[in-house]
Amino acid sequence: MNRRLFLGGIAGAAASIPFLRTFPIGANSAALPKLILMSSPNGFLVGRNGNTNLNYEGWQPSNFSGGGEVALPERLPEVFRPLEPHRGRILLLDGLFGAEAHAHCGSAGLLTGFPASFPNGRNATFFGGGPSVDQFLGSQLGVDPLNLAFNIQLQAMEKGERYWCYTKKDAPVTPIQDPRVAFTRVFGDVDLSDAAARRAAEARQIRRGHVLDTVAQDLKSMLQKVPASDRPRIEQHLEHVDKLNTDLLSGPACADGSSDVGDYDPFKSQNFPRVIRDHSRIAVEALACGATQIVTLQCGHMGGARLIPNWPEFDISSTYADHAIAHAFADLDGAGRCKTVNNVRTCLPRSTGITQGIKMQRVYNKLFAELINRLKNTIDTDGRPMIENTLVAHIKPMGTNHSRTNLMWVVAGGDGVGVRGGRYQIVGNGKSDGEKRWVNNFLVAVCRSMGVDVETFGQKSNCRRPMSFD
Amino acid sequence: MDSMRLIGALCALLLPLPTLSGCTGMVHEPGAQNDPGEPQANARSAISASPLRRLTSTEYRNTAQDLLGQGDELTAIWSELASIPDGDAHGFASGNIAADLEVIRQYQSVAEKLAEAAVSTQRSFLVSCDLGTPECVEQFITQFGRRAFRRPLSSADVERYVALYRAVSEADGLDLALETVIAGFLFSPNFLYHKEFMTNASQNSNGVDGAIALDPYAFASRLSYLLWSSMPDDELLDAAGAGDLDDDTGVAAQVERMVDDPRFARTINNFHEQWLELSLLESTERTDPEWNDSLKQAMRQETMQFVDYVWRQGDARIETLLGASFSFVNGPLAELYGIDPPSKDFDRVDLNPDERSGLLTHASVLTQFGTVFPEVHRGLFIRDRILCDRPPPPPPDLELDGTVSRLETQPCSGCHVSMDPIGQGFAGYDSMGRKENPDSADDRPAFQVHDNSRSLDPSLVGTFSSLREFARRLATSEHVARCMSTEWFRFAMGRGESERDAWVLDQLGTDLAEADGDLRHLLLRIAMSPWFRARAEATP
Repeated sequence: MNRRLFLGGIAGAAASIPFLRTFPIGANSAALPKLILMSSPNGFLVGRNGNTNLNYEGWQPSNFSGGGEVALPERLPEVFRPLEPHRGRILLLDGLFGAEAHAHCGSAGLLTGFPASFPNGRNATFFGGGPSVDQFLGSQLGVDPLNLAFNIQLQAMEKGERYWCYTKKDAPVTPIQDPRVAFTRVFGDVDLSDAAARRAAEARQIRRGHVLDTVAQDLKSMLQKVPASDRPRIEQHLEHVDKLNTDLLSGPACADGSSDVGDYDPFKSQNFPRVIRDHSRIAVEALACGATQIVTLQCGHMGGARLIPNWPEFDISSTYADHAIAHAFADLDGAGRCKTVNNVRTCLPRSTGITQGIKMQRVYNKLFAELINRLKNTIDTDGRPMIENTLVAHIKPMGTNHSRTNLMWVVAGGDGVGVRGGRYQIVGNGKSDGEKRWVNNFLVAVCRSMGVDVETFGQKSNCRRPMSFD
Repeated sequence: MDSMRLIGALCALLLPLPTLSGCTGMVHEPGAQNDPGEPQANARSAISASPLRRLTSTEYRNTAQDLLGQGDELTAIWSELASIPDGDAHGFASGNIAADLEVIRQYQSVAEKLAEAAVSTQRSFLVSCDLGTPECVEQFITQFGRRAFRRPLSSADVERYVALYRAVSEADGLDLALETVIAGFLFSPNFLYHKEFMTNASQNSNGVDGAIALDPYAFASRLSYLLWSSMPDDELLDAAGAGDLDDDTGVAAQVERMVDDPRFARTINNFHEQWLELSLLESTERTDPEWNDSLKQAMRQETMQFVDYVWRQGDARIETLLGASFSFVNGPLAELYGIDPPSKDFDRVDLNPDERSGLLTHASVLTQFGTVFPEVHRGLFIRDRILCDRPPPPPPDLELDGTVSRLETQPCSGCHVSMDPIGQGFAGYDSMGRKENPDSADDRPAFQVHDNSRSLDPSLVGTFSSLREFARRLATSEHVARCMSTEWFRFAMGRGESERDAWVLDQLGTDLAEADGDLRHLLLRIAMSPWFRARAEATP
């Protein structure tokens, strides 16, 4: 049937919208594996391996006395304390090694397993060197990942550390930064109970289809004229237009979300917690209604240079951004943490860096804990809490002393995705080549948890030390 | 702008440059058809390829505003547009990264919203006939399409958009059909991309090896995005269609008209906002008591008003940009600078030349580069954007001990010695650009320029004991002239330079230095250059 006629037929039908996907909840059918990858800026204050007098032990469980693994005690390390209610679900992975040599370009390698690519020279913006694991899994599983973020500074043209998802080398995926847009993408923007609104929306979809057909013709015409070197760009553009055309058929992925998103500026630091909570809610509901199996949630620009925490509910109010706090914690560059106001020069001392740094990590982990909680309270198609079938990871771009060594990431989930929680595990040692556990092995494990069996991910030579989450 | 000066400059430019239209020699014949006065090196020179690129967000906005007759009032749409990411060409926005699916969705959303707003508020600006008649529909599509696509539509294009109009008008009426057609134009790749692949095979590139001349419409667009950061107007498109851009006199006439047009201010604004990275000022969040949106705006406005004045009313010289002891401030900025406020906001004020030196000491610049690691970032700004000698990023796997000094410890010192001692010259300014101890001569640290890489003009190396001396040395340096030429080249071409472009940059830098740092001369020189009217031949 012609697509336009198909939509036209729907417009005339009084029955429920057939193209809205609705999944039975608690129907005891098999549940699909799901993935949420969350990031937050800089590192988890891992002080180990730095100058001995800079050591900070607040990331490590009190009962850890060496070796590879220890069961998590009831009292978690102070930066992970918000995760205590989910202690049995979480796995603290310590000692991963980043794919990109330069820490501040690390965001490009976190999910790709490749060093950063610099298509315009080392001093320009960098990108991922291959597809990120979310996009790879999306293509394998036939689902569209939902890529969400708090302000990653696209408007400011800030170099690097913006993107962490890529469809291929040098092809970043722009995340949705405004929860209102995310809501509309998943649930549409039409009140389905209003027949007139429905009719208007359907007519609009038909007009959109006409525009997409016209634009596709323009692209095909342009394709004949551009030099061979530019053709892939137009071909990709055409693929996206075709995808939009296909999406017109299916309409919004889900019938309705729990509530609309309020009206606020999602790009302001002060609204950071609200944005992440809204995104989290939409993400879990999108998983619940089958809109996707894969979500990424990026808590801002990976360097955190302009994320200034003034969040009373978390008892943190700072004049310094996350990045400056991270530097103060590691006591890097004393002068750089200084500024002068009214002729008085003040510096962020390391002690304050530690205090505020701990609070910042707790904020991120609290928001991560809330995400886990949502998954616990959402029933999956097999009748169990969705967390059982969801691999959730909290990923950070930096490790020891603002470098790529000893990255510490947190995994949560259940048996449906092969996660056995309640553990702290040292997975590698960045000091020794033979003991490095590159993030590539983590990404391989993620693929396998999602039912996609791969031997390597990203740079193959980094994949020699397999790991799993159980 | 002083039009006599401009005409003089244009005439001077016309003399030494060969023309495109007058040439018949083979492209690859070294020396063929060269003007005797033109360096022979030109004939053996080439230019790099310019990959296909989209309009930047700023170019899209300006183009949409000109096309639809819209102003700044559509703030929500402009804000959505601004969130579409641009690529980066050595510090200048460029649509050189591929558009991903989300970006295409954003373009669709922006196009739909702009079209809806246009039909709602600008209908009479857009349509002057009865859209109920087929003739009017075709007329509208032909005329509007020529402006939107920056070239005449082919008959197939016209048919396609007429069909789009008809399909919608039959079901939804004329206004929605008009809205849909406008959305289609705005969402079309013919609108979204610079179409520099449209070349004129019948013209050679006149001394630029491996290049092929742009067709007149593609050249008109390149000219308008350089001088207006926006689409060509009807007059420029008419000139392209009439063949007036095939010779230097015709180009000069258009250039003269365009730099006299208020739209020229957009390019001045657009270039300096990016060169000075002022957009980051907008997203800078601080909790200093004085820091608020209105102070941010004031800082930005001061700089924009200053550069606009220097370029469009002043002498447009590097020396003035970097060394002027006047500016345009309001009350809060005057307080920050420790001077009496002007009687009217942003009137011209004189500043202490020992403390203030053009853009170098604007509060916007000192704040933008002074919020985090001020001595590093202020030094890096000079090194990168004024000397074009950006140090490489820190080495990989650098594990720092917090007690180390950047200037005394390898490998840090290797690069930081080229930045920090320059940045330390600004140590007397706080992180918002306020002079800390204005009366103290002791509080005037020196600017030290090192040159470990031996890449600088020797006259720039050394210790400069005062801001004034440092600024003067920068402003009169041929090295800085070449750097400014490089920055404008990047802006004009939407890409970084390569070794193949070195001859262009050498030529522009020398010209600029000989023109006493007159940047307007530089811009005119770019617009009139043969390489600017060509693109590298496509690789098979």
